[in-house]
Amino acid sequence: MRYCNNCNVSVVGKRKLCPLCQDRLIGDKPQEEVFPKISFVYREYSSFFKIMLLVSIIIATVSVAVNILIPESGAWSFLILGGLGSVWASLINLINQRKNIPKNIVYQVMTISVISLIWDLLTGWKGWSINYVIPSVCVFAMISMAIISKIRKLYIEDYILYIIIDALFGIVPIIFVIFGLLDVLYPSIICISTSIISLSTIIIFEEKSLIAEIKRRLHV
Amino acid sequence: MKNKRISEWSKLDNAAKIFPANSKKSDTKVFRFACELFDTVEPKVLQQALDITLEAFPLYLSVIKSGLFWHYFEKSHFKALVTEETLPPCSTLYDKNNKTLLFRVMYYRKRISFEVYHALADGAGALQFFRRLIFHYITIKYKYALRDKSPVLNIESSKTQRLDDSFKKYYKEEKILTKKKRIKAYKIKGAKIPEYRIRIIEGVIPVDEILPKVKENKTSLTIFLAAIFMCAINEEIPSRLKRKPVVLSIPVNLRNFYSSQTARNFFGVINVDYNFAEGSGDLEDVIEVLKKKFKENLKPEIMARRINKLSSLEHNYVLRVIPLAIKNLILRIAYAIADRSYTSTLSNVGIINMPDDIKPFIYSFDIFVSTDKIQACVNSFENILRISFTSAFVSTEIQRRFFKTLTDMGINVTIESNIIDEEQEVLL
Repeated sequence: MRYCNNCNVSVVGKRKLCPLCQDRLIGDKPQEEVFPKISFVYREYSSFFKIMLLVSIIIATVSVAVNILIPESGAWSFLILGGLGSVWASLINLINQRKNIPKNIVYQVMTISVISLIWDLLTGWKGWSINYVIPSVCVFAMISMAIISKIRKLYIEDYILYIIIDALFGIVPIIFVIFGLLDVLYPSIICISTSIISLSTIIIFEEKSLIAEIKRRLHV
Repeated sequence: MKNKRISEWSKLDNAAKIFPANSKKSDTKVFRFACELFDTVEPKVLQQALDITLEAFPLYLSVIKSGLFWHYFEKSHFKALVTEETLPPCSTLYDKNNKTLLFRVMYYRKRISFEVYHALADGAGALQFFRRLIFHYITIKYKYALRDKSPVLNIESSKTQRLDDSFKKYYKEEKILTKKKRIKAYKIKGAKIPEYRIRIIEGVIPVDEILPKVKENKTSLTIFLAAIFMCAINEEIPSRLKRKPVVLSIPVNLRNFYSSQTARNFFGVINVDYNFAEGSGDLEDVIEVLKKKFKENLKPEIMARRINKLSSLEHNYVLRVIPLAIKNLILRIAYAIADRSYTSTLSNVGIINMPDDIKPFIYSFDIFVSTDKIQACVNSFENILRISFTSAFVSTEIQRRFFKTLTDMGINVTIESNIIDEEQEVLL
């Protein structure tokens, strides 16, 4: 065993220096290390993100600066800022939830819906967000969730909540229909029907799982 | 149609509730039990032993999910597999975006390591699991050597006892009137190791060398070590900060106060303080003060009051219906406030017992815990006392002073540690 004269302790392992005082160890017969040596890992995508972030900031700054210098061209830089913000919001969601695909899908549906509503509102309400975007995102989410759960052989309790949330969200366009806010009806009608059908399927075939899930998630 | 099983779930116990809100990369709330054998570990046998052990501990196959109001354990479909140790000690086990089992079993050379997320169990609870794992491993691996013997692990608990939520069971409603003033403790500061790694420095000490010194001071081992630890911390305090007391937080196993055998959480903590600006600062004086503080704090009625105080929050209907996201925020603030009241933690898990026929195959046990500061864990097996320091700090001065005090008393200390520094040269 190795020995530290300064600390008067024996040291297990093959190292040259004392772990307590960093003095040189003496003595022969070093033993095996007790713990495996685990090197530092340098996260591989962090520099990619740094570049992305810097590029976004440069685009934002330059466009705002140019916009201020030529004010007569209109407030177009806001569109660029909004666009960058939307991309980042979506991207952050995507990365945070990357391990839980059904949850990721629900979060994306929410983010895309909110962002499209805001865009529609700020660019002079033309109604494209509730006419097309929200219903089609909902339908797309429901279909992809159904396919993914089968392909990845997910267990019912891992995605039932998200299907339910998405289906309930998919029924919301009924409000737009009732209040006559829509110019184009067919995407919303498809979305509402799909939601009702998938909700019913779950209630009929997964009744017990659904009740159990509600009990678990809502226990006080 | 295939038979659909509704997966089981259960609530987190009272102490466990604080952990999901306060786990972070810098402090994962994971602790490790390790066992060093005399032979290289055989992974296949370890896997067999793990499978048998898990039958008795169904809760260990759970993941933590979040509901609207509380977190909960849900039985998962994950398989528990033993792996070679390639992760840094006490790596994350609970990540709300990436569900995994809340424990892992690893092997490296002669060591079997078992890491647990604190919400699942406390030290004494996890020890029940680990003792069984080691027992099964040794009885399978050394079947031949043990053929004339039939070792039995004295198991104190039934399956239902182990699943007990003892905080709930021993909760009595009472009005808590006295509000103790919180002491603001000295906090250790310093440069930290990158990537939230922790440095492990362990002292292996013969029990028969340290016990006479403990007896000389007419005290208990925990108090003796706590006093040395506090003095070691004191040496590092810059003199302008001396007026703040050094406070050690000592986890107490509540199973010793109640007839509980739960394998989940059932612990409390007591804080003991010493002000080096007021006292003489000699080891003898610190020991005398600690003796008094331990005696005051360890009365059964005081422990009962602690349980009730904690549990009363959980039984408050208004608090219960606060959404989880806000609760997490509250729990983080509560933790941060409590965190200011102690300098460090010393946890004595005590004597680890194994059946006599099994003992010859085991060299020693090792216990340590994740931290973003510095913490100590103590355990003993046969004649080996092991004091394990985990630290997020680059400096090793406190550990050096601690062991220096012991070696100056004429006690033999053997140091084991992990290599953190990339520049640490290794002999071939």
